[in-house]
Amino acid sequence: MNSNIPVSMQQVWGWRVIWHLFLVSIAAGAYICAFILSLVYPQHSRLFMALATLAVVPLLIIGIALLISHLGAKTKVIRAFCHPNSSWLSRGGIALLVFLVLDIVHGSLPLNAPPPTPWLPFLHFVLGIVTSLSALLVLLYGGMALARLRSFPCWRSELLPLLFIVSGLSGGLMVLVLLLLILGIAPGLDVRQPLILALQHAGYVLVIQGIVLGCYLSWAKGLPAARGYALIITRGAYSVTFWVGVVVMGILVPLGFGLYAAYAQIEGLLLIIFALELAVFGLVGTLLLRYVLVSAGVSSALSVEGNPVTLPQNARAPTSHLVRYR
Amino acid sequence: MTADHRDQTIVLQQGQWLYSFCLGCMQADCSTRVLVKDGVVANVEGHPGKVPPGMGKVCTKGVAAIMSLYNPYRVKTPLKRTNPEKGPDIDPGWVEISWEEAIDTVARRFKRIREEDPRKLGIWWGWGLPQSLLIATRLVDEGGSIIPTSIYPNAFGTPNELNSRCLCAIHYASNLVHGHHAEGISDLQYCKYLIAVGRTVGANTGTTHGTLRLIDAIERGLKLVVVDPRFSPEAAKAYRWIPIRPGTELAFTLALLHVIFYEIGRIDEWFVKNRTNGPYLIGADGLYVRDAASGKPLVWDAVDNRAKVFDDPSLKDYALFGDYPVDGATAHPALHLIKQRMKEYTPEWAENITTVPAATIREVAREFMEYASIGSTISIDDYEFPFRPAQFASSGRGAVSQRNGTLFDLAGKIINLLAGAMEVPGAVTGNRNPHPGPWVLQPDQDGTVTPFMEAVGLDFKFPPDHISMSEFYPHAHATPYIMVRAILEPEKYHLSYEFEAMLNCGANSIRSGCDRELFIKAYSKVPFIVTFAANFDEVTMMSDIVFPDHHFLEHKYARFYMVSHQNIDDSVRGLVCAMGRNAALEPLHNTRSVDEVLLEIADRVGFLRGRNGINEYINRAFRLTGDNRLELDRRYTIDEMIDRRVKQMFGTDSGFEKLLQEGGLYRFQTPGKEGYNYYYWPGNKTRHPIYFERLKMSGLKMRKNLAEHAVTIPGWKDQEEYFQFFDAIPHWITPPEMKAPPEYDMYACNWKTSLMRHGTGNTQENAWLAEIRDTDPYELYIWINAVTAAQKGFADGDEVCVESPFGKAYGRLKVTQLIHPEVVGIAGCYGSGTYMMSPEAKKGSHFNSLLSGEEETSIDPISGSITISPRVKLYKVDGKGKKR
Amino acid sequence: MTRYAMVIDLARCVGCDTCSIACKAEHATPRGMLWNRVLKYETGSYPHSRLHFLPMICMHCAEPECEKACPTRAITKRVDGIVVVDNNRCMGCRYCVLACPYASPRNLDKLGSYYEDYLTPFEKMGFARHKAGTAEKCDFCLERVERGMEPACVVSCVAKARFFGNLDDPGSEVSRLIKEKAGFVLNPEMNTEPSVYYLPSVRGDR
Repeated sequence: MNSNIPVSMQQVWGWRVIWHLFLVSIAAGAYICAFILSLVYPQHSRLFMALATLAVVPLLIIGIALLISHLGAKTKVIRAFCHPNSSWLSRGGIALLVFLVLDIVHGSLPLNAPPPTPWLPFLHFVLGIVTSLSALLVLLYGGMALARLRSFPCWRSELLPLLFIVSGLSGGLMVLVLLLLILGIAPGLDVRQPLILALQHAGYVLVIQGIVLGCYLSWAKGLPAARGYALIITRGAYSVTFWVGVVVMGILVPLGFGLYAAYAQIEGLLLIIFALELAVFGLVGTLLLRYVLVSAGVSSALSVEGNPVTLPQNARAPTSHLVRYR
Repeated sequence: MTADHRDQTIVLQQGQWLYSFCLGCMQADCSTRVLVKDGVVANVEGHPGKVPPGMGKVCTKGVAAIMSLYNPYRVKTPLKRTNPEKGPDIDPGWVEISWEEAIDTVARRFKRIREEDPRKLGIWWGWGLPQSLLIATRLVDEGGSIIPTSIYPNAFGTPNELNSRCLCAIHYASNLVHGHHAEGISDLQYCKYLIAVGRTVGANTGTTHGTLRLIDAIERGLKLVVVDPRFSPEAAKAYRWIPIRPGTELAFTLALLHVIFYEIGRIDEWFVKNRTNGPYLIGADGLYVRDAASGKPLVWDAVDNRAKVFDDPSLKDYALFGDYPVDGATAHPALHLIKQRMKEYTPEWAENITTVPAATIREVAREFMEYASIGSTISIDDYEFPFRPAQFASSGRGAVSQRNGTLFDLAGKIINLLAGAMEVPGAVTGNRNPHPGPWVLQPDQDGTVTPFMEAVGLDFKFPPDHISMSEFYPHAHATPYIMVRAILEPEKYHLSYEFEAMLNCGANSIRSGCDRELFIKAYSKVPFIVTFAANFDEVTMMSDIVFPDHHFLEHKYARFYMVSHQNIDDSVRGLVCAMGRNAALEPLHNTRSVDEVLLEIADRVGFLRGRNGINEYINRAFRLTGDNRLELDRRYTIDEMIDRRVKQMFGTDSGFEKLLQEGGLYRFQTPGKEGYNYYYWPGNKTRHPIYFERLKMSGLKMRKNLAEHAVTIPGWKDQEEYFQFFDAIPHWITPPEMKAPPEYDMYACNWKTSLMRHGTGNTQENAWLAEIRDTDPYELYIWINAVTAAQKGFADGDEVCVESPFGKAYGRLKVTQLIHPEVVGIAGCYGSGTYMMSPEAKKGSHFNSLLSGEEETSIDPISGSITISPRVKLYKVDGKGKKR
Repeated sequence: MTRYAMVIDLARCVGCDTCSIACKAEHATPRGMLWNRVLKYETGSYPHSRLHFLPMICMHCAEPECEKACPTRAITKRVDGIVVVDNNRCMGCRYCVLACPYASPRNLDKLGSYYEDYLTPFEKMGFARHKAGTAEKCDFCLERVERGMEPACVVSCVAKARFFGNLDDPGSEVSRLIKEKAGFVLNPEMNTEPSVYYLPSVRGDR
């Protein structure tokens, strides 16, 4: 790399898109996790599903609103669904809409209809599967939208969507934890068991998340075109955010809290504190993970007659050049 | 131009295309067309009919003119000052006045001055001058007259035609050696090897035709050698880039001469013997040894072994070297002395001074002499020319704008002459107005080319007439820095009258000159300043009356192609061209044409009509004959005057209207063989001076005149410092920069760019150019070599101050590999403006603040050039410009 | 078939930016928006260093990444190979901005005037051709090409470094130049098949 030419990070997608990705991912993650947990632990299924379907709606709506606020021509948002055959953004848009609708349908589906309806649990199951698939697509789209960009070699790895999925799932579990804690304030409702379950699984998912993150960054470091990106994250401008925010706060601390809480069988206030720490730290970490990975994006250098030519920092944005006239 | 071009343009877009020409730089010779839609200028393009010299192109500045037209910071109405205190950033207390009041005020004042002593008025013009034919058109006649040369000052009767030309005093050597103006330019039709030293040969500033011809030549196989402290756009196209310590180009050139004389040993003997004064015998006094009877210079016939006059028909062969007894004294052929003088200038000696490796100097000298292909010929139109496709291009702003600049340029001419590469195909050629012809190389009584313009020399007069003391600098292009000193210290400069008024047209001497603070001080002392202004620049802000000028796109006008700049090929050789400009729109503001205002003033003052009035000078300057001549007692409009000139050039069936319709009228007066001045004076019919006896004579004359009046050259403590330049052979004079105090450990250098060339057409406020400039990684920065930056602890983007002994420039560093390690480079003329200008004008670094016209440290007494590479020091500053 | 293409000769380009300004005038792009840019970069160490110029416009790829990325089908490739943005369809998501390896499209965040409180008549007229919030890029001067004229940057280039023509015609000037002077595209590994070719900055023996 020519030391004279600075590595330029993308400034095109900013905090709105990052928050959008964060919110819709944890919404989708929460739904999927709740659905899986409800299958594995049927005794808590009503609780998990109720929390998840409830949480998804505001998270998605805020997330979608943020994305729309990012758009330059907001009235044209309806056209976002026009190009699903090649655009991951279009696919994402469709997935978001389908997920939102299905989630509302699922949430408003009665759990027990007065005349016993044997098909109702089956309907719940089928709807859960379909909604989960749309949620999975929502989880997938953020990562794929980045990973399919030829212009950003640093993102061109299947590990990135995988990382986004895993972190969406862990974030989803943290949303569940947070909701269970809120629910726990209500007298007479024992949420300890589901809380422990959520914490435990969050711990497992965080282990996977750590491994995928490690793999992704070491892949990036090994790829000449993405090395600068990996270095910006681990040693450069984003290193503090990355190590403190993403790794320690977002993975190690919640991982510790989660597994300790699950295996030490703690109770009462300690459990509440642990769970709260895990959820809050973990969600901050989930957000920062997207912040770091998206903001640090380094586009490919142009290769001209054997010379790598880095595009200027402002290459993808209009310059701000305003003359103050009296 | 063909009809289908025009048809095509009409259907292009709704709107009307009008022919125009550009004023984005002083050349102002690109024919354009302007798209006008609903009264708004919507586009500017090159003339699609490919009118030479622009060839259908127009550069950045010409297109961006749209934004200077609509620049809200323009001067919009006539103004008068109410605050007597003057300064570029002092509120003048402008009061809007009518045109009548403005013209009346000025005319009354000028009338009184003209009656008292016309010398009290100075007329200052700059590169905005193509806005005014009255000021821009020079009174050059076939014989060659000297400054002041333009119509208006002459008709008024003042010798004080002033300008900032000390920054491009590049003409003396070409005026002397080729007998033409403005500079030796490169024939790119055939050249194969071109050494461009500290100058542009066309592409560095992205001018339309200069660039095109150079790039075409390189495509054809021209090998370009660029000697320049910074890596220029031309260096990017070059075969070699030779970075050099600024101001030492003379040493480099002398070393090339040493190698040619002492290591290569082969020169174009035929050329030197027959076409230079190289064989003229020189006596012990350094002057020609002359025949007692005829007064003609003598040469030594090597066969008959005796001295003969240079044009003796019995001459068999000229001796070039040796000692010869003439009238009991020993005389030497001039070339012998030149060779002797070059002995000490070895490449190793030059390496120390220039930092150019001795091996490189040797290689370049060898390549140059090889490519010159001495002895070869070329046939053009069945006429056989000597063919010398190699050139040493020295005559350009940069290396010539140094204390040793003229000596460097003269040494460069010697290199070309030794190779026979002058005024023949492939070589350095001339470009005298109106086109090549027998008047260019016409020999004088000594058989050498008749000097032209500045090489003629101004007659001495004491006390001096000129406010800029031109009498003490007879060959100077301009000495405006002396003018301000004379205003401030009239006694020291023997000023015998009180300078009372100044008329500015198209110039901002404070931004684009030197000695910024002195100029401001001196201008505060001038009682009455009138300015034709496009914007509120420094000089406008110090004026008493301001005449708002049309933007050039609003200005119906004409331009007559002067001469080609930088280079030439068959696309412009012998070109005679006029360009017309339609007013693209009604003036946006209450502005008027400069010339119409000048004519009105002249009429009211009383120098328009009659003998030696404007009309008569128009007849002379426009070379009007017969029916085209103006009657001396009539009042003509400028349009009528233009019409006469167009008719004079292109016949009675043409005229201004036709010019406006066609955009450009042109013909090739001297195509093919007639485009080379050699053709008119072939063989030994004329001789270029290679030994500059005239320069020596100028020095001797000056000594005599000074002694007669018992005065010295003001400002020179040691008069010998001044006189050492007036020698017949270029020689090394250690420039004061090399003896600067050690704290000034760097050199500064400057160059023009495609976004900022001469500052005409208000490029410094232009929003589009500023937008490109601001995204450019190099344009607005102070360049420093990466190694130097590391040594000194500077980093990319550091805020710094560059300080010379004369002033300071502030800016942001660009650490780069593209500049000499001892050099700080600043592009263009940015970073200067007033509070009434667009803030864009003040961005960047103001290089000229580093410059001075102080006599003993900074000027070349021959050409009057100032040194543009002062020694500087560099230090970091905080946001407020305080040293850190 | 017609596939419009441009050849930019790096050996002729002098980096003067006339193309950038001519483009601004032709399309009246608002403040900050440049469809044509000239990148400058240096290589090597003093005194063997070099300055390079790289004029950049939309590459009008045969496989345009921006077109694939665009969720709204605002970006389309015409049959003549010109890739255009329909700013009546664009919703301004800036995904094309990220997707283009050559950073050609940019989002016009707002119709910025050059002067804070003043709109020049030229800008006023030009603003009608732009839509705030949507992506913009070079369109090979479609309005000119459709009238049989060459793009503004080609016509204006003072060094005659740009050539415009039909890549599908093997006899065209552009095809010939690419073949004879070893024309190349930027980042061929992206498989975008640009229609803008460059000729080497140093030719033959230099």
